[in-house]
Amino acid sequence: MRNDRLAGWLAGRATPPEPTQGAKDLLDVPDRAPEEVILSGVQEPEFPGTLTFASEVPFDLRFPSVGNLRTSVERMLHLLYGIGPCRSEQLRRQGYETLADLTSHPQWGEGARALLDKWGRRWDAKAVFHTLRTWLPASDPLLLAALGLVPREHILFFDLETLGLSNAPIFLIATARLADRTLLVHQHLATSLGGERPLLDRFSRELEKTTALVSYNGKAFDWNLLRERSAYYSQRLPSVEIHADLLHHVRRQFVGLLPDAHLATIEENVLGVRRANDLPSSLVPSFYSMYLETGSPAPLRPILDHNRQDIKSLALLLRTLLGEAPDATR
Amino acid sequence: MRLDEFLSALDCDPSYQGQVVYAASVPAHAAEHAEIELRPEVAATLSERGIRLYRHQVETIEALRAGRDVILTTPTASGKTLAFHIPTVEWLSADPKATALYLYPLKALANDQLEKLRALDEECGADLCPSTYDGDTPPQKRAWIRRSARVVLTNPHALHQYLPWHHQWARLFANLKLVVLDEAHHYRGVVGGNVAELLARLSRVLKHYGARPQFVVSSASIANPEDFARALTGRDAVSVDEDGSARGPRSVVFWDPMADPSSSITRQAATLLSFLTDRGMQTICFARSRVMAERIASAARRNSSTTAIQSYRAGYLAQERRDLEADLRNGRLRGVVSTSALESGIDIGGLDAAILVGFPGSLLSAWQQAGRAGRGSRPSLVIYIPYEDPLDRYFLRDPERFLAYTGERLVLPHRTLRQRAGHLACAAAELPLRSEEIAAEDEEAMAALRESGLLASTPSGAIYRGLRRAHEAFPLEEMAGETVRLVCAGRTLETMDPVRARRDAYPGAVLLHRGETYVVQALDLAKGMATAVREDVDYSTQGLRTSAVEILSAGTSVPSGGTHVAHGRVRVTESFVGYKAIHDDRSASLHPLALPPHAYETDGVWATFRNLPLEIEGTDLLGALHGAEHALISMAPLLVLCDAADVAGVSMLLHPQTGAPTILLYDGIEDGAGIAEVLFGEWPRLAAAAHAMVSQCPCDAGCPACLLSPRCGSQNQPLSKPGAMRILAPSAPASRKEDA
Repeated sequence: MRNDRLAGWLAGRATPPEPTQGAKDLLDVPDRAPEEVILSGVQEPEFPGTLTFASEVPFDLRFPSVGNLRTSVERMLHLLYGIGPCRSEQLRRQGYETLADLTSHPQWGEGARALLDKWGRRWDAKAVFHTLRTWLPASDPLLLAALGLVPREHILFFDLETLGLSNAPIFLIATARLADRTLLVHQHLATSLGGERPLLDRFSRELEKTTALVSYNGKAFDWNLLRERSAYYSQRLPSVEIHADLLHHVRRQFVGLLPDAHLATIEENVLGVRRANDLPSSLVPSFYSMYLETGSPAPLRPILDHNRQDIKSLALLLRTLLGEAPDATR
Repeated sequence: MRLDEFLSALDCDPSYQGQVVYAASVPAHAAEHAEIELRPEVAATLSERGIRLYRHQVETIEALRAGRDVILTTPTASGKTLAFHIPTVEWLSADPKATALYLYPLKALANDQLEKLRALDEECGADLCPSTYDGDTPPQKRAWIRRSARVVLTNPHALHQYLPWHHQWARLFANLKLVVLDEAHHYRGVVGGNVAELLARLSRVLKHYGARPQFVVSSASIANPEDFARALTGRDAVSVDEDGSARGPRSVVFWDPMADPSSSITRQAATLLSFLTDRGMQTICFARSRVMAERIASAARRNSSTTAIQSYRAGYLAQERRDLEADLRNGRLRGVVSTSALESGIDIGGLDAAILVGFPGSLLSAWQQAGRAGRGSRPSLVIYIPYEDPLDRYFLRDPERFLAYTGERLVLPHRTLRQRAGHLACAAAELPLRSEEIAAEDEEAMAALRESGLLASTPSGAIYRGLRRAHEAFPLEEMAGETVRLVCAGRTLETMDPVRARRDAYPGAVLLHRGETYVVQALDLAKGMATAVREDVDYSTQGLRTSAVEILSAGTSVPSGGTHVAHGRVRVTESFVGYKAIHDDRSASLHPLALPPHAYETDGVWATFRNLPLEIEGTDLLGALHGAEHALISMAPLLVLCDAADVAGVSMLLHPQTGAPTILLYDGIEDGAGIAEVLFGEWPRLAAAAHAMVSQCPCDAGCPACLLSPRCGSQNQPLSKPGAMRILAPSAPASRKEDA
């Protein structure tokens, strides 16, 4: 087979879709020169090939009070192995209202004591979350409320941008943490494909200070991809005990009210977020490829803007889900 | 029943018309046992089952214990599987973390072996958790298998898909002690080359996890076991090929159906089947298609005093198949007519007799089928009934060739650039491809991959960055050039390369898939799709091929018995001008085809004849060359494991490039499959076999059993039998003088 035939055979397996004219207009930004995009990024010497873009967004989030959470959880006798809805009702009629009551029960006392011991006097977030995750559906609101047990600075929101549909290199990881009335956003960008490995290192570092993850469809997609890409580079991704995937909760709360569960649909119908001049997700790989090929930072700005909005929406969504009675018509 | 009893019983049968032209007795050979110390639980299981190990099994275990790879090529039913199951059980018992990987060419074979392995596991208490893992594995079981199974049985297509997820298999891979390639004779030609590439990728991933397992290759008997194992795994293996199992006396009867022109081959096979079952012989009969199998079975049921005669096919439900297999083992079923589905792998025990209706394409398959008859040291009977094809009939006239089988050669072709590129892309998607891992010969493919944007260079190595997953963008079959899908009712039956699609899947073609007949409705080469419907028809079809061949480059050329033989690269322009529908009653009809000609590069071998008179034996030279070409093509499967249709040829009075009368044979597969190269090396044997076949045929002017080819695009014109014999004769006229 001659080389031109090989090239023909390979063609079309690599190239991302051609951006539309409307999307290409995003490359011309009147208010800022493209170079400024790069200049605003910080190069951390330990992670060559990456740039970090920091921004702060005014944001306030209050978790339901830990006291209320404890009251609800303590009444869930079925968190004990062997107790189902029927037995639970039976025990309640006998006067065992809470897990604490149950510690004196001749049959269930030992189990109840072990469970409460596992949780500890101050209710260890990981232990409680582990129990709740074992016995409750992934979309149970209590799993979100349990985030309140975690010190807020140890909660990490994250979102990825990749070069393809699956199994593709990751080039951008947005993270966000809660601070005093602000959301601290860090966008970590690989400035070349060789930057993916240090990018994963950078993210691993972030995980060391993390007890709980918050993502949108991250359990099925983002986290698996991070693990896969880390394994690809023979690296190990630190594990995080608690992962709240808001997609499960959105499906539960808005089922039937919305046409689909895409983040864009949620933004429009629930969060009231309007994106202006936004780069569609499907064109993100094309724009990054364009940057790699031309070396011009112009395509990076729409990517960073798009990704920043994604992580902001994620935080907003958590606040909405924690709030009372969602309003799908707003 | 002994041979003399069978023959005298036949003689008394009124329907017998003297069809037996040759009968041979293959002497029995006693079991050769050997002793070896085994783990107590394994030894106990064997003694409970009443098994004493044969010498070849012990040799296999010893070689594996000595750290060597093994290729095991003893015959069907010689206990090959036990020979590698024992080391698996022993090693995995000794090390509770150790694992093994078994690869089967087909899912059905893996499922069949799973049950055997489970039984052994339970009896030995080895805790292997053997599990199949492939496209049929339920999603809820997958995570458990990846976490816990210590023997995983899968197939190359599945492994290709799972390799990039190696981190999920880290436990299995890191602790892998043994890789078993069972039924490895399926991995021949382009498919085999592809599996070799896949195994190289597997080894690379295993190295990453620090594992260096040993390989066991198990195959039907072949001529070149060591070479084949090396080509497949890239490693040297000890060959164990001497059968130590007990064999009863085996009689082989060569049956000429033409001796009774009033009865069709199907009818004669059915009569024989009922004749044998009526005399208490449990018999298996192999037919080419499911329709034929059913016809033979129902005719035999009508003739026979027993109704316990069934047909068997691959398409049955698992439970139906298992019931039939069990009925065969316990003897309730007295006769079975099968397609090649029962040729190997599936455990049906040994029967008393086997009837082979038609030569199955290779002696390897023929002996696998024959091997179904024979249980321990009991006598067995094999009856061979040929069709009217040159190779089929050839064995009738030269039965010793059939009996003295030592195996065809199994060859893997050189990798094509496309294959290299595809596998490199997949390898780079599994782990970054470091520069020291890239061979010099891969540079061209690497350059093309970088150019197309599929690979990117990074400090970690070349990484894959395509939009789709590499393993979806490069399916295993497509790397083998199989870009045309055969689709029936929305389901893909098989994939084929464009050359074969033109040859076998033109509109109107009747195609056999797992014994079922399909009629092709349309062939869209641009979309890479042939659509077919399931239909029982009583005819087969043959595409008629004409071709022109240009020699692109010639390798070495050697004089061989008066001819010059050379091999090299050729460009073929092939046209299928029409097809012939051949009915069961041997009548044929011609149908034109309007397919555009197709040009492709492949490997060729050609013989040039200088100083030949333009007229030999009173006929024209072209007829002589043309006839010799057909005979050579017919005999090719004797030397190299291939389908006769995979070899095509042209003959010319004056080839513009050789400047002489020329016969040129080529691999009818895009980029070649390694066949022409073997034929080049074996040319004297090929010519001698062709000469013997033609000269032994009693016809005067060439017949379907010697020179007439059903695939010939020029209507078998001109053909000269005496001329062809002169061309093929060991002392061809040109031997006097060789050109420089």
